[in-house]
Amino acid sequence: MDKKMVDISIAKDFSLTPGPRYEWQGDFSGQLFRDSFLVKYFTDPNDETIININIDGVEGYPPSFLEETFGGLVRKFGRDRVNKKINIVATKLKYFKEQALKFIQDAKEFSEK
Amino acid sequence: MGKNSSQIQSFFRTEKAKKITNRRRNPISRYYKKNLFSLSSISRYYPVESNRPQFIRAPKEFSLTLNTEGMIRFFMTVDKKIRTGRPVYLDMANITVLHEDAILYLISRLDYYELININASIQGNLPNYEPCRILLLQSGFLKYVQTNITQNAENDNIFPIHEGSSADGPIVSEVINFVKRFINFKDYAERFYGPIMECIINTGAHAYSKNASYSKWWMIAIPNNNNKTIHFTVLDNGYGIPNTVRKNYAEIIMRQFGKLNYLSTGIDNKLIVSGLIGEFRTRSGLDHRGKGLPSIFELTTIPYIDNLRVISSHGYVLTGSNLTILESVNLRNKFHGTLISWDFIKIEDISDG
Repeated sequence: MDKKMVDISIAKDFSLTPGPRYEWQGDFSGQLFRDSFLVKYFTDPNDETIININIDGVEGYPPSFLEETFGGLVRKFGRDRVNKKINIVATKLKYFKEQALKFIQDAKEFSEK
Repeated sequence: MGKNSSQIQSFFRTEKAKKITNRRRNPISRYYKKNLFSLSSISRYYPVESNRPQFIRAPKEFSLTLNTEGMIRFFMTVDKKIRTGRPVYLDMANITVLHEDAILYLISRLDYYELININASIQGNLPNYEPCRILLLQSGFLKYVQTNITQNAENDNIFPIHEGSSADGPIVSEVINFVKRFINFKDYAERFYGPIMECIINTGAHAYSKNASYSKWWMIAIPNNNNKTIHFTVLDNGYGIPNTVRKNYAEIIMRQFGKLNYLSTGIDNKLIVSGLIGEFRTRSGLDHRGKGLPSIFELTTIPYIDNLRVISSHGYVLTGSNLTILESVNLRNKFHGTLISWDFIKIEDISDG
């Protein structure tokens, strides 16, 4: 059976100006993005949806936004599931793709529920 | 005897004497009434001694970059005098060097005095030296005070003071687009947004998170040197990096000792450097936090960035290119908040990175 795929563009679907780590720090936070766009594909352990996240087209990324988005997923759902389900797409902003992958690699698994 | 009396009487009748008498009644008349600004309106005349303003002369080098200790001492004097409850008059007439970092700090302190409902009013004048006066006007300073000055102060080639209390992506985007008018960053253009955001995210994250209404930042960008460099400055009014980063017991004791003896033996500069290089310093104790300062320091690896400077609490740090520290000093007196500045520099024929 083919795995279901979804495409999310941060620039088109979320914001051209990604914000801080937490919602209380300002608009368009990493926490908001993760919880609104990504968490729903992780809550069911049998959900095998692949999420293609296009990170191009924005003004740039605060590292805390990327860490909370991707590292935050690892802290909640574990690295294996994140690696299986998340596909970061960047043709221009490769620097930030590398950053995001490093945050996935460095985050402490299951440290948040 | 009689002759002497008549001489004294005539002396008080001369025009000069009248002027002197008026000066005593109205001290501000000496200080360029037409250039006045004030934080709150007060009577022009001060018949009661307690209403007489306390004049404080601003340093000629009104710049935190060039005169850090002098500027902090000046603001300490202002703090002290303002707490007496008597009006304070900031005499800025003799300023010959004015930098935007000092303008932001002045605004931050004026904002603080308003917040704590200080009883004393604050007035001041503008520098006589025209380039300084123009910079003060064009910076947007007058938005923050009451004044009758009507001089047109807009200049499209300056990104005037913007302020906020939370991480504001659109304003950061605006300042980067302003700088891009002067410098073509090629592939580096998106690398500046994150660190600038981190500068202002820290306001809410580190500073007065329990009192969000007081977490504020101010930023400004001004081209220099025939538009070959753009000096970017951001100031927040938080507790300061050395107060908010995690410290071990030895560091806590050393800091207290440094504050007590005023011999610059403190370690605030070292705490800032430690935060910049990304040592585990987040007070939350969460190891995924604390990405902001290292990302700001990382800017020094970009060839378009120079003179990254951080002033916070008792610490002053100037960095060089490629993650080097050029100067790290512990200040004798406390700087309130955190000031971060750097130059965007125009480089011809740089290869894309």
